[in-house]
Amino acid sequence: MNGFAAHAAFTLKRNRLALTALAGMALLCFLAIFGPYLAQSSPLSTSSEILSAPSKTHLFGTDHVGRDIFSRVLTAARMDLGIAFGAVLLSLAAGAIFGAMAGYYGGIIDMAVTRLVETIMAFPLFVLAMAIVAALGNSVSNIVYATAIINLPFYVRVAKTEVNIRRNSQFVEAAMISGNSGPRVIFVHILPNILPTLMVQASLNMGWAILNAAGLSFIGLGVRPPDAEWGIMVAEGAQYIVSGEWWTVLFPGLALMFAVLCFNFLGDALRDIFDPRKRA
Amino acid sequence: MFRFICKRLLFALPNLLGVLVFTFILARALPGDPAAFLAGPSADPAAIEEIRRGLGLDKSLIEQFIFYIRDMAHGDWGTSWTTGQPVTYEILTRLPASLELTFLGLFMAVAAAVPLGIASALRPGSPVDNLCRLLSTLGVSMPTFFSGLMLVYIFYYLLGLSPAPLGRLPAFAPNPADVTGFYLLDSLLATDFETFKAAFTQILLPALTLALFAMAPLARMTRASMLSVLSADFIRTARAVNLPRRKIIISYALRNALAPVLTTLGMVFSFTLGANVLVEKVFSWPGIGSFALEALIISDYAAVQGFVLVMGILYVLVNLAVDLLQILGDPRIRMGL
Repeated sequence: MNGFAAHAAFTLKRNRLALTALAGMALLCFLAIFGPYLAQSSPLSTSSEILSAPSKTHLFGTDHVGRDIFSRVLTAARMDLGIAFGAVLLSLAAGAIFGAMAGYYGGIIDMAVTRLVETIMAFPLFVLAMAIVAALGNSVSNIVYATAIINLPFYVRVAKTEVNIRRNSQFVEAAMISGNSGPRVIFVHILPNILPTLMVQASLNMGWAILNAAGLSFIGLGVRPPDAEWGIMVAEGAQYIVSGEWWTVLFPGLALMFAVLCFNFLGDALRDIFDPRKRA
Repeated sequence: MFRFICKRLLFALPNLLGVLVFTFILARALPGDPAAFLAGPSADPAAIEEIRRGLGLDKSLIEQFIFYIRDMAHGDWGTSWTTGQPVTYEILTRLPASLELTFLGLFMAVAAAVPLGIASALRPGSPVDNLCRLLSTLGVSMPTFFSGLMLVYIFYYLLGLSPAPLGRLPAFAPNPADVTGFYLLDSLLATDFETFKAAFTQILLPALTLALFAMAPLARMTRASMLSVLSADFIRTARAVNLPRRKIIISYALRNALAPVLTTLGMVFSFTLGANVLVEKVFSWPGIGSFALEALIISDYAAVQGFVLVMGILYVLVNLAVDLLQILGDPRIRMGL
């Protein structure tokens, strides 16, 4: 373990970008927890200062009903990261279980899981997410489910191949011979082994999940106005961009981009730490 | 050869069936009772029941599914509640707008990404390579709707180079004679260069938005694939016998490196179809994405279902085309089938 820590430290030290991304993610997590308390004014309180440009009183300017964009961007971190975290956790859990079972038992379970995954992959994923939200109903929790479902195939595939590799190894055979049941072998003996690979996949997926959820709320699904969320803020500002009120779009968009960048860089770094062979 | 193509076509069938099952379930799960909607607010329960029977909604799910497949196969995709027109008509009139945008965007992405990927694979660590890395990082982390709006701000508001982001042609401009539905092609066919120019300036920004987004994975894959091929023995041999550099790069390395790039292109097409919906909203593009968004908001279920079905079918077809291209381009895959 000491060797591993040294290896992680070495990778991080050599990769300044990853270190910056780590700091960025810490900032984002901080905002997600404390953002609402840091905001100067309530993200929902309107004022008569409509569409005023960034200034000392309103760092990021105000929107079409006079709400302070800086406060709204800070507050929205919780919503955006919350949706993405929820979705990634759900699909990680479900994908690991489905994939591990398919890889371990094979046969009919494998066929059923493969068919499910292929049906999901047969659609353009964003369109599928739109359809799922439309069918389940227009709410934030359904955005989380939809994003989780379209992410599922990636985890299932990773889990399945990783379990397949280990299925006939000696430690699994030993566990089986000592009388462990199938599920116990999977969850206690195999899954902990493949967890690092799955976690790398999860961090690589986070950025994508954020983009996806923001895209859905941009087209009016999920988060409803007046709630603060980066995607919907860009959507609300969109009509003012042709008349030059750029700050309504730029700041929430940059926040979104910053979050995605941090997670992408971090995912790359994690992959370098856990799986040096796949280094790009 | 024919046998391989047939085999691959057969593989596409289960996927198509999966798509149909999903849209069927989707149509049943969408909120709102179609029978109650059609009967109107003042209808009594008996009348609603009557309509439900008329729609076949009282049958078992299996029977309904069989009817559903039959109707779909006959091109009867139901009627859009908002426009009163058949869904197939609504979609077919809007599909060319979306496809023109998607294809132009993808074309621009490939035209930029492949040379960039090759250049950065030839000189890893050079400024070109860093540019490639920067562009592909930005491409995957910029939401398409954000980059689209920023392009509008820069090229329309600040520089005044682009027309207002409102559809395929400027207001009051006549549509070109309808041959393919692609305005660029149609105006060229009619040798109407005025319209071609107008249509081109309208489509440039949305296509660029899509291209920025689609470029990243393509450039990355081209670079990685070229790097691994360039380190192969046969390239060293080609260099040792002093073949022209151009020949080594294009016909030896690139041809071998293209297979994974093609596979990525199929995947990128899927992402682009999704991103299309967002770009269409930003640029008020009258394609099937905008149509689906309007339908989604008022739960026009036949229209939403038609849209999802078309997207699913398109994607299955594109993957089929990509695989067929692979088979044509690479004899080794032909042997493996």
